[in-house]
Amino acid sequence: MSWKRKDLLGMQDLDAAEISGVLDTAASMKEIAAREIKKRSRSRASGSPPT
Amino acid sequence: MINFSASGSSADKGESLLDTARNIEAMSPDVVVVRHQAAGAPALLARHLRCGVVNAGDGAHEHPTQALLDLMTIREKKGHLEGLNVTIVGDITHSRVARSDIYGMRKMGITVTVAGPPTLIPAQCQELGVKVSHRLEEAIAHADVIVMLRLQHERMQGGFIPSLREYSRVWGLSLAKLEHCRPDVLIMHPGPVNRGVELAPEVADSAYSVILDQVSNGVAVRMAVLYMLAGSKSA
Repeated sequence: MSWKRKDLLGMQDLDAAEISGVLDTAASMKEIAAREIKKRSRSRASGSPPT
Repeated sequence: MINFSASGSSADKGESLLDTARNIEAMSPDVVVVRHQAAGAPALLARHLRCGVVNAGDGAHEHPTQALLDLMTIREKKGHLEGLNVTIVGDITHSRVARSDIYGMRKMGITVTVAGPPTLIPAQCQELGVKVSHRLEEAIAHADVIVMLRLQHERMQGGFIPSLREYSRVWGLSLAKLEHCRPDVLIMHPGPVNRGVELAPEVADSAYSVILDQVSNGVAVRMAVLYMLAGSKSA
């Protein structure tokens, strides 16, 4: 994902790849929010360091 | 998370936007989310602040996260964006949602039609790459998605429409008008809905409506934007 911007000021500034990038990230966020245990980090879940 | 609003804050007491910004910056935030009545206020802040700035709506200019959640909802329901027909209905002139939707949708290969009374459609609208229609039935006949805009209360008084009842009859979406649409058409609305004005209650509650999906996706999109802006700084 190639997000290089400091700000999000308008859709006029964004190109199609950046828009798709936000939509993909948002879809992952939605999937995480739908989990039974939210936001559980891998390190805490398994005791092993995050990969 | 710190919330500032103009009423009750120093802005009410005559503090300039930039002074407010410097005070916010002194608290070392990662991201500032700003909604402002003046178009360009978030861009002004962004130029002066080291932290990220998200425009959560500036006047009649842009509302990018609304456009992103609209695109997310359409992609989720239709599986793709390119080649779709989207019709935006209502007060295009004063709508930052319409403007951001038009920019975003055009970039994703969507054909956009805007429809509304001539008093509420900007004169040079075609320059944004959209089709313009002044007949609702014609504008929605082939739409994959219909975005119904909220009729703001100021517009009900300002002489833009003859009467609320007439607006609702001509430009409001009813189940009867939907009969001539695609059977899989999606109805969207940025909220809050004026039931009985732009949307008949039966339409807002129908299977066509994905308004509550938009609300859910709004959370995901804003999470993603904060994550990406906060993350891009440390990278």
